[in-house]
Amino acid sequence: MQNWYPGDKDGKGGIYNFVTKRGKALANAKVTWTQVETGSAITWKYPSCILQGDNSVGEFYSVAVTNNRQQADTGTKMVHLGRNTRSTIVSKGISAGHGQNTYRGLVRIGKGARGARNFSQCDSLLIGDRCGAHTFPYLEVKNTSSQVEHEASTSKIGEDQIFYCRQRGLSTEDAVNLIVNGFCKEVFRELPMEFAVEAQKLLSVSLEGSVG
Amino acid sequence: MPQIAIGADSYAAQFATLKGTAPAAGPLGSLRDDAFRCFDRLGFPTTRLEEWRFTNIAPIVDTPFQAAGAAAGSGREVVDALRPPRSGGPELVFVNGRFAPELSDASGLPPGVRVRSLAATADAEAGGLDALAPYLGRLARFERHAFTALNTAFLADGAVIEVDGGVLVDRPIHLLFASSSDAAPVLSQPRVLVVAGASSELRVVESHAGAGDVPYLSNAVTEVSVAENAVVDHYTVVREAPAAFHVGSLAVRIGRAGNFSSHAITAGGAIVRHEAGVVLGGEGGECTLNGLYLANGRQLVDNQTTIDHAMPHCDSHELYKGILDGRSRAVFNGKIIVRLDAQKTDAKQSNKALLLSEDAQITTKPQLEIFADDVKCTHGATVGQLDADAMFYLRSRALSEAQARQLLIHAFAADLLGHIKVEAIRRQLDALLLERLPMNGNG
Amino acid sequence: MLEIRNLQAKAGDRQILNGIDLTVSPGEVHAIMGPNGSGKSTLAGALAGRDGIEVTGGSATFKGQDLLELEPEERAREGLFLAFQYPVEIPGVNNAYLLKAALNEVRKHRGQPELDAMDFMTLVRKRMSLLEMDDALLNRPVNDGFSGGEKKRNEIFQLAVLEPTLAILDETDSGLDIDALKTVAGGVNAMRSPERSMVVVTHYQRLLHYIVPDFVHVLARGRIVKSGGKELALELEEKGYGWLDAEPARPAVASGVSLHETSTA
Ligand SMILES: Nc1ncnc2c1ncn2[C@@H]1O[C@H](COP(=O)(O)OP(=O)(O)OP(=O)(O)O)[C@@H](O)[C@H]1O
Ligand SMILES: [Mg+2]
Repeated sequence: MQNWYPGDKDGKGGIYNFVTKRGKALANAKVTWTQVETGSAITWKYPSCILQGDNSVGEFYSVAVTNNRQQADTGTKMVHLGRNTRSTIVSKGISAGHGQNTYRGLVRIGKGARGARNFSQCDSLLIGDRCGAHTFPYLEVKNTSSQVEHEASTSKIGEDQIFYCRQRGLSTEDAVNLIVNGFCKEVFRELPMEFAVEAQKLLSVSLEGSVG
Repeated sequence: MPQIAIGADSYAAQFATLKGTAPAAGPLGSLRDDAFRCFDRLGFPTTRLEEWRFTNIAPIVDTPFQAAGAAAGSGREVVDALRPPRSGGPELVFVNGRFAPELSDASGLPPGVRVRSLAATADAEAGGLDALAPYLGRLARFERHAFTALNTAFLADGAVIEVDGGVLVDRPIHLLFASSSDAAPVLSQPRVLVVAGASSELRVVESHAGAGDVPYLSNAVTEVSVAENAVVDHYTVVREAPAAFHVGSLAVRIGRAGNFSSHAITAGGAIVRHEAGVVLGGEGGECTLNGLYLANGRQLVDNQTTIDHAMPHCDSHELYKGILDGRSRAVFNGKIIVRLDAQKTDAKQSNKALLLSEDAQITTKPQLEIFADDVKCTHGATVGQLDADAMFYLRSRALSEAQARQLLIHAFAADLLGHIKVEAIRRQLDALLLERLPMNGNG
Repeated sequence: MLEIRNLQAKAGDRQILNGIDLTVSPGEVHAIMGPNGSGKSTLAGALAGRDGIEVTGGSATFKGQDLLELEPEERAREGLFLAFQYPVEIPGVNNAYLLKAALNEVRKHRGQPELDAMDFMTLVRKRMSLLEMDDALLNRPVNDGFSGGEKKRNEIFQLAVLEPTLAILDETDSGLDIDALKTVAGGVNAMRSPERSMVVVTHYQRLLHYIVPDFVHVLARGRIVKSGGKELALELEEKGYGWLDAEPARPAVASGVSLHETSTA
């Protein structure tokens, strides 16, 4: 969970956070990266998995939040070398204020990776209309017996959604938390219980004041 | 534009003959003339055109098809063999595009519904086609579409379904287009026009089927106008003969709070191309495009869809699934346009293909053109094989390999089958899925 | 229950409502019909407190309180329910979860204890069967990927769970096929009771075959131009809205004239 100082409203004084992480999985092994990125003025971070051994598994679960002038550019590389290797990518980007969020990822299925599988899901949530979301999924498949699935969506927390919740009796703040947490559900459920609660709180603090 | 129009020339002579022997007066005549002019200018499409990049129609261009004449070819036996199961509703039969009254039964319709042939409509009363003028040849634009232009140029017959405002048609209306060539390759050109009045509701089933070893080209055009708050549920089942070619275009316009769904099942034919183009032209409209395509051997199946969100608050749902075996090839091109004014659009598109053999191929291309900023559009494409683990699991529970395959293939198509509201079609599809599953995938 | 007096409102910077008068008593069902763009949704939005709709004059009281003073969620907790013309999709937010949160807010407000998961599910199952809803819809994100018919059904399902005192249905019938229309109407009818009032906004007379209203009003150019009993709907079906252009609009301030008198007159 990364929560470095993001700088002031204009992004001044914030930390730049550039990170490289790699995991190598031998036969039947599993590497999972789970991250919640809420801090720093600029984040570049691409935790990756080399799936070298047969039947090895790689997973990447990410929630990245940018508010004010923050920028987050994050994603993963899943390099499938062994047979029957599997990888899952779930990336959730939330942008508010002038925040920019980029998913940048590579799925490479090598010649020898027979029966390899990947599932990627990249969703972006925009709060307000001055922020941005960008998705750059790269896919290299050198093998016909593999299966690759990619899903992407971009949606906006609109006034409509908030009004809908309020019309059902919820306060604005509860409505925003509900929508944001719902959006992050697939990642939060990978976190240990206490951690997930922490992450939810961090999220609502990071997004404070972004709506109405 | 360097377009080649080899086959196009032979149609000029046929068009001249048509004008001589069976001229059409008034608006129909000028519609035909305009259409032929367009066809002549466009020529058949080539793979240099983006929409045809993966679909080489040289076999169609190189075959000298003869436009079907007024005399219906095949008799009752051929048609009966091709007849799909019915659900008791009325059925109109067309042989090589021409209405065959002796094989049809249009009885049992509620008042306020007219189902007849285009030729009969034109003859019926003076100006019989006038009421259709805003739709006929207007929904399916031919200016930039050679096959639609060709169909319209020879427009002489077809099915016309008109439903008055507020009328509910509770049984599906079946249309069977049977085609076959006797000696020379025939050009069969089915044509359908559906005009659904405000708050009306109907279900239409189009079956395209054929017989014989001599190739024929079935070049079909269907136009559907869905007025305000009307509900139209449309089915196309294409099962042409193995040597035949099929090019079909469905053009739909949906009014305010109108609801249109299409289920396109494309199975038989050497080259089958199905296009569906829908304009959401009123607020709060809803459109569902579903498709199931099955191919084997060296078949080519090409599905092209365009959904044009022209007004706000419209939803579109699109799900196409393909099952490919042998050395077959499939193309899916799904275009979604969201116009500047079409705020609050919700468009979902998904194409999933199941490859049963190593040699089968699919090219899939979502194409989103979004000009409004408060919209929701998602698309997804997956290509996969039968799950080896699931196969093994089922076999270890004593199912044969064939049974296991069948079960998984059926499961793959299950959500599409679930949306089909005509029981007879669901049964037909179940059978089709079974018959299409050879044990060895090299048909 | 609801008293609207000379209500005027702007949407964006356009004046849309030009003086609406309407009295709805407990147990009554009022239908509001009118051509496209006449202000039906604006009226519904003004009553529910939608952003972007600015009330510029007149008043609305709900159970004796000034409705226009309340925040949208306060209106909801007081028992005003709006079934949206275009129900909003909320990806990732479980349908049941939102409903439970909403129900408990309403109950808290009424001084009732919150429902636990078991009791909530019992209630929900009962209401779902009322609307012939597929179980799966409960665990899907709110309206996400629902068909038009499913969305409308979900709105009425929420109504049935939240048990409001005033339900405003904005074109819940549009775009539905006849089977869905019957189901939705059945759900609404099951919720009719002497304590609960309904305002049914519709474009199409057909709905009123299934939900038979006590009163029908025609809204045109931001005013109620005609009120009557259920036979008015039939008249509209026959003649369309055109003939109303000739009718004078009801006076903007018709204080004291309740609809009972108008309709029996
Ligand atoms: N935010 C806005 N800004 C400007 N004009 C608006 C706004 N919202 C609505 N309008 C306009 O106000 C008028 C009334 O709209 P409203 O949605 O209330 O009509 P309606 O009677 O519900 O129509 P329909 O039958 O189409 O649902 C329309 O002309 C509409 O274009
Ligand atoms: Mg409205």
